[in-house]
Amino acid sequence: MATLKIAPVNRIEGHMDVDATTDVNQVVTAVNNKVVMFRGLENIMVKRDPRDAPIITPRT
Amino acid sequence: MNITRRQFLQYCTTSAAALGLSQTDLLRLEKALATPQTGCSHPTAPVIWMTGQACSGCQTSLLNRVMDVSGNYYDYDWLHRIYNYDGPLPFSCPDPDDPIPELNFVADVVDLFVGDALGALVPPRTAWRCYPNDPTSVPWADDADPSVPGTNPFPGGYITLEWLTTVNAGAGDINVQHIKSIVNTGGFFLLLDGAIPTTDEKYCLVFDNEVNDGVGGTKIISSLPLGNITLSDALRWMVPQAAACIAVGTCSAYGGIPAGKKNKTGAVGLQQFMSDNGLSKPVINVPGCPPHPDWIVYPLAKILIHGLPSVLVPGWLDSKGRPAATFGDVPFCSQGDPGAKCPNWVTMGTPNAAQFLGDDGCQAENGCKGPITMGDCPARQKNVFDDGTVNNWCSAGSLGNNIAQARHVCQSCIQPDFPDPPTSPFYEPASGSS
Repeated sequence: MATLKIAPVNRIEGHMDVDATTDVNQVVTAVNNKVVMFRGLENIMVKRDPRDAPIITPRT
Repeated sequence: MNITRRQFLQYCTTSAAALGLSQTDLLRLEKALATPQTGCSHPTAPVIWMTGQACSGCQTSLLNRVMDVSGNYYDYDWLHRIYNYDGPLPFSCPDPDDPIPELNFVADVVDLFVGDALGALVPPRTAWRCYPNDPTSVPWADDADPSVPGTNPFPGGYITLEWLTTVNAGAGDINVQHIKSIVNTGGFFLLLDGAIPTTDEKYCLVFDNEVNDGVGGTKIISSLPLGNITLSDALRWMVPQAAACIAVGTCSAYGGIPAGKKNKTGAVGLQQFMSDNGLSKPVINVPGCPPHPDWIVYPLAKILIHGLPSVLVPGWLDSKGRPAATFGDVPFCSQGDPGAKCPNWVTMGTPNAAQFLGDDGCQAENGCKGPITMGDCPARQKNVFDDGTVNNWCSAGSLGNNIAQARHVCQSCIQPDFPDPPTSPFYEPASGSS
């Protein structure tokens, strides 16, 4: 049994890590995908002019 | 508007072609951006592009600067003056009228990375790594003798993109071990898009300090803490080794959308982060949401052609740390001033208010933030076609051609306040904001 870490995962738009666990036959038995970046766009939208939403939220 | 599904699909296909990103171009980009240029005969400057709290829009904007232009439009006088060059031109120029000469050199982003343009023209010199990693000790590159090593860091070569997770071919520990060698060698450009969280630095993790050792275990590659490395730790490791930093995008320059009011992450821009952490390096802010690709290319091309000291001259940056040639301290809308750059004012002569979004005329009443925005967006525009017509910029209209234009409002996305007042609410006049 071994653990394989891939951090960062490339060729995607954004941040992502993968932890994979393999058994003795090198068969993957468990995978954890981790999104490792947080901005909290919902918080930033609080009490804004609603018309601003389609300008801010696409920039994610 | 009434369109069929078939028309919609046709439109999507045409749009992809208009971006210049055909399958061939994508392959060229992949080769250019993902392949380290080792063993080449030209000097190269490595670039590490880190990503913070970002949306990849800045990277997409840069990668879209792919043009196919035929013909030689070069200014021979300028080439001769700079390089004493009289031979045939090996490449073409997208816009011979661009007031910024460095941008005439770079036909597209592939040229910048592979060196078709700059590398073919400038004779090979000693590898850049031989030069001292101290820009202040180097005289002005324009005045330096190119035959004397050490007088011109990054002389006329091209860059190699050593790290950009969106396009790097490898993943995980392959890249992490590579970046370690680049950082320890020093003297690279550090580009950053995206803001830096401060309330908890773990809001943005960039890579893992423990890599697979190939025999089932892990090994540690740097002096950084164990486990996942925060962006802040990575920057504290990299910035002291970098030659210069370029903050790409408003998030990286000033905080941008992640630093909007009521945010929980305490996002800050690169300059703020560096002053908070006692780091000192030259920083060039290239704001924009996203920045025009020319704005991103310009500092890189300037440094590659004229050397790093040429961007450290007082006055090259404006009061907000941005290249004065593309931004400056004068709003592009001067409220009817004949010198104003916005065509909606110049062609009308007098303010001609547009009643609705999409109408011709000045959009200030609808919330255009031109009066508080300092950039060359109206002159530079986006998506310039081969026949000289342009597609749009945010507030475009009244230009007298038949190309569909946005006729939307400027959101002042290059100003440090974005997206907070006075740049927002985006559909209220700037003067009415508080």
